[in-house]
Amino acid sequence: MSNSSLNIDTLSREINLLSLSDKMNRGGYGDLFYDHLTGLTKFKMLSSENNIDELKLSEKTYFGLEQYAIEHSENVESEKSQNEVDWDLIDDAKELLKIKLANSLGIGQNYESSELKPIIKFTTDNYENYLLYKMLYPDSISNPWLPTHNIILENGYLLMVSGQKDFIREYDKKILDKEDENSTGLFVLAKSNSTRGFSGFPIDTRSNMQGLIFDFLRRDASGMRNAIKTEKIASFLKTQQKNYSEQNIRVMFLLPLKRAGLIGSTTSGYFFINSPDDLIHSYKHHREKLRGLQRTLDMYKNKGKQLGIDLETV
Amino acid sequence: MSERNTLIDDKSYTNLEIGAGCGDFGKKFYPKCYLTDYDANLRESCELCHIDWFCDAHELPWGDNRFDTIILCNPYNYGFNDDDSTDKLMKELLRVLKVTNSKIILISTKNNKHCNPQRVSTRISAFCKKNNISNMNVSSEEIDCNSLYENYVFKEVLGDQIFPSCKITIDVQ
Ligand SMILES: C[S@@+](CC[C@H](N)C(=O)[O-])C[C@H]1O[C@@H](n2cnc3c(N)ncnc32)[C@H](O)[C@@H]1O
Repeated sequence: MSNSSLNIDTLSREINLLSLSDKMNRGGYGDLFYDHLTGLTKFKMLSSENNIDELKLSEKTYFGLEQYAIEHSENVESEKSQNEVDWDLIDDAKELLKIKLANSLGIGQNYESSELKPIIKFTTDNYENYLLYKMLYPDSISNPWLPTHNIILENGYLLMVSGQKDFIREYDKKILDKEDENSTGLFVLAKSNSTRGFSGFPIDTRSNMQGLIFDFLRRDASGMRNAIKTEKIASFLKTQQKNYSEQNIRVMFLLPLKRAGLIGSTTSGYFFINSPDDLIHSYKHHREKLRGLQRTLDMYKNKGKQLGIDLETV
Repeated sequence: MSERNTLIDDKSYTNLEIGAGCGDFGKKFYPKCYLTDYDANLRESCELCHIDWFCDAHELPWGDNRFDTIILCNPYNYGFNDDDSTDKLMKELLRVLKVTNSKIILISTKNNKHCNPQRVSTRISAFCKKNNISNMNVSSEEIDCNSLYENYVFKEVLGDQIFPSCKITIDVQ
């Protein structure tokens, strides 16, 4: 979508289509929230003054990462944006979203005094960040608010990040019970249409761990020839007094780093992308995997035909 | 007012900086300036912490009608993002600002949603309208912070350097 398609008509259309989810489970927002966090942290990871492993996640640093992504966007995008931001359009879209959410939750006129005001405000502020970044980089796939945009507008959840336990307790004290030694002290609170109220989870330290591993690969596995296996990453983490299974290391740290385009992988392991050759190699490796998947899908489609099912339409 | 108020109140100090972080902008460019920030952790996290008083921008410990100038550099997560936040901040700033001939100076990058010049102007107009205020004027200029504030390092929340490009002045006549 180019910047010109960001106008009040297209935005009000997407807002009008929003329908709050009936589900409460984490599936609609959990992984996407962590993608958002990795997306934000990426700007800091790629900074020359990277000290991400020392960055303790808190309310202040969460908003700091938000500011960082806007102010240091050139760490991720190829150049600094020359685009002008349409602040009035952002204001109008935020207002439309606020009204839509308040009406969907049945608090239309009582918004100002509602206990839901903070979560609605966080949600509309988050949408504002998405629009701001999109106006700066209309075609970027690194907009760190793309995943939260999906949470809100496609999956139909309101969301909020808070470090205030008293505040969280008022909405759903069960969220606090889920805290463990890997928690940061920050929480995600989500709200769907469900009458059962709120859901959420303590945010764990995975973005710090991703930063730590990214730095380790940059130092010790620079370039595909130096690729290392998960086993070695697990040993490194042990030296840092951090114990994770290889499976968790892959799912929680390496895959998100790969999805964010930060590291490469081949059959011989994971590596820091250091040269055009590294990138080409990793790209080809994944393209092959995709072709393999495509072949499997084609086989299923074929089988479907034999059974009289058109899998294209399911 | 609370006892905090009596702690630092040398009347010859007529300037006040809010959200100063690890910097000392106010002391350098507006001498006789008190520096404040709400984050008490700055005592440990700054190499050299210059803060005179830790307080929230919306709850300043000084009495009414007290300062000539209030300075905010790169406010983030407070400021002029929407009408509510503007209302909350401006009410407190106007309380401690001298009733006439005083000003608020904002130094900002242009994509800071809490302090973009066009935003500040729109929010202040709405604020004045709502509160029947007619003696306030907003002006802004593009600046080259390197030449205007030579050798001064502005920082974003996480501590890396940023280069503000706008100076906004809210005059109270
Ligand atoms: C982006 S930093 C700017 C620091 C410094 N002014 C500069 O430009 O280098 C924003 C500062 O505002 C402070 N801050 C955020 N919210 C505040 C509030 N409600 N009251 C006072 N200070 C606040 C933060 O602690 C942080 O130090």
